[in-house]
Amino acid sequence: MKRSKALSLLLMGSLTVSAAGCGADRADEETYTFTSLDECYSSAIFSESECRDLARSALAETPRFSSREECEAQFGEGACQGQAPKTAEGASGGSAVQQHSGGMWMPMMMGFMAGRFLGGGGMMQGSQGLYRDPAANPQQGRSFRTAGGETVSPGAGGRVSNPTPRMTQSMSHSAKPVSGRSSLGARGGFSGGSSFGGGAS
Amino acid sequence: MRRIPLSPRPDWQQIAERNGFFFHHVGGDIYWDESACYAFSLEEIEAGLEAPAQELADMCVSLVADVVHSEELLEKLAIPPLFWDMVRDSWRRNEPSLYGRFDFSYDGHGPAKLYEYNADTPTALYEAAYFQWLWLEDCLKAGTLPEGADQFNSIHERLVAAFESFRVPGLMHFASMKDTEEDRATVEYIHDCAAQAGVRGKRIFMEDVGVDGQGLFIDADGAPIHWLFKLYPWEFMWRDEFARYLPKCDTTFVEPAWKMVLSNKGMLPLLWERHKGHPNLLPAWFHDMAKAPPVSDYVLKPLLSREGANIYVFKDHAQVFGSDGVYGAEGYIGQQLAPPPFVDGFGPVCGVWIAGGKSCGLGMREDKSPITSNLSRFVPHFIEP
Repeated sequence: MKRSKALSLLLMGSLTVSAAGCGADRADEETYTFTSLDECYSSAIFSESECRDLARSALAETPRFSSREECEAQFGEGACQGQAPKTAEGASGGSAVQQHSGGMWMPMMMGFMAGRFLGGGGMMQGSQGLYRDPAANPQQGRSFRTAGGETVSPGAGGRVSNPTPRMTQSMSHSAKPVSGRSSLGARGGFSGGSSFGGGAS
Repeated sequence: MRRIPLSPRPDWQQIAERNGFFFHHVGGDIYWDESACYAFSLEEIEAGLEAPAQELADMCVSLVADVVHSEELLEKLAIPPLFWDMVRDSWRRNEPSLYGRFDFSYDGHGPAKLYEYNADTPTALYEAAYFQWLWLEDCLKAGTLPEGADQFNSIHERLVAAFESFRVPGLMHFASMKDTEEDRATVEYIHDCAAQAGVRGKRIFMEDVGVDGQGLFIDADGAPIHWLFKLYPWEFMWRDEFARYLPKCDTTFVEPAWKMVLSNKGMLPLLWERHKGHPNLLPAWFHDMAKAPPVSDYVLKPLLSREGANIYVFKDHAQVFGSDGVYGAEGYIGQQLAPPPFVDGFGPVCGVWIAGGKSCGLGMREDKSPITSNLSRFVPHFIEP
């Protein structure tokens, strides 16, 4: 047989045809957890450059401690790592600077939480780091804790269904306006076909 | 190959509309015409169309490999230098192609001759892949076609398989232009095939695409566009205001940028140069006004054009036909004249579909003028048992 064996349409047809062009996904308030940049990229919720920004600011917001003990007191035993001195290369007197920089211990980041939420003047997006949850029970799925000590248990696809106001507040430290992005950009730059009346041949 | 008059299904218009096919008439004229059909033997399909289209598809892939590494050839095809890296990168990254359609002159006698390759935004896909298939099933049930009749048409299966192979990690956007009923339906159909392959899709219009502050493409809701199926020709994008964002964007396009090489009539002389005398190719050349063409009966086609616009037919070096249009600024190619066979006063053109790299189906269009335009009627076909 040289034809398709069976054939059906999922979306097309009389019931759905009038709904063309109405996307279901909107930029509503949403919060997700990601355990890697790849996970963030493939979610398609944020662009690749946004994912990098969100991960970077989550790392930047991670608390620093001057000793392992102080860090572990807050994040639990074995949850902390020493940060490699960043001043060693290309800087003079690296070790001296290192001693003054303080904050050489930080909790290991398991991932980050990124969300869009309404903030002052419009839609904002921000992030914060996620760390090991000492009370995690793998039987009950993944869970993390925030730097503020709150437990985060994401649902399917990493979605956090009901972020607490405190979680959102922590993310707002690093937040940037979402609307600011599009106002910097432009729309309607693909309209060459208007004088041709159709794209296909 | 025969043209057979046939009674249309009495309720075919309702069947069409139930299946989302609203452009069965265009501008008051019938477009889907099942008052006739074409009957082929299996040999005519397999040896006459399927195998040649597969061979040409493979030759085209080799041609792209040559062209992407030659600035001379990219220039010859009038691809703007701004996009050369994009074409090369998309080829190097092996960005997947969904589909294309070869248009042949063919009447079952002698080899099919390639008119052109619609490699970027081919249309008449839904009619060929889906509605034509339904027609055959209905005719088999009603007994209007003989038991065991088949069709050269696994396009739908191939499209779904192609989307599965893409492994789109997140959301894929599907764009057509506003106010084009036919394109909209085609994109809806393609979106449907993608959904059947498990791809999460979102329908948008090209006009609503935006860029964010970093010049990356976003949809009307501000969501990033990482994968974009576009029923919108690359050469429109060249001239659009957003052209400057294309080389640095993070969007994977379907069809990919390397298809610019093949959606260009310049690929016809390039194929001929590489495979001179190939039975399925017509002699073709880059046309130079200052030089006499190598044959006396020929057609001039713009490097970039659509829907049969700006095509000029010469017999004995005198122009006998010309179609209006706005194309042609980039130059023309010449191709030896091969009028469609005349069957009962109609000139059928055989459009053989490539999906996921495989020759997999046929859609026939016929016209009373020698050039297949966007108003040619679509006529179904079957393979005789």
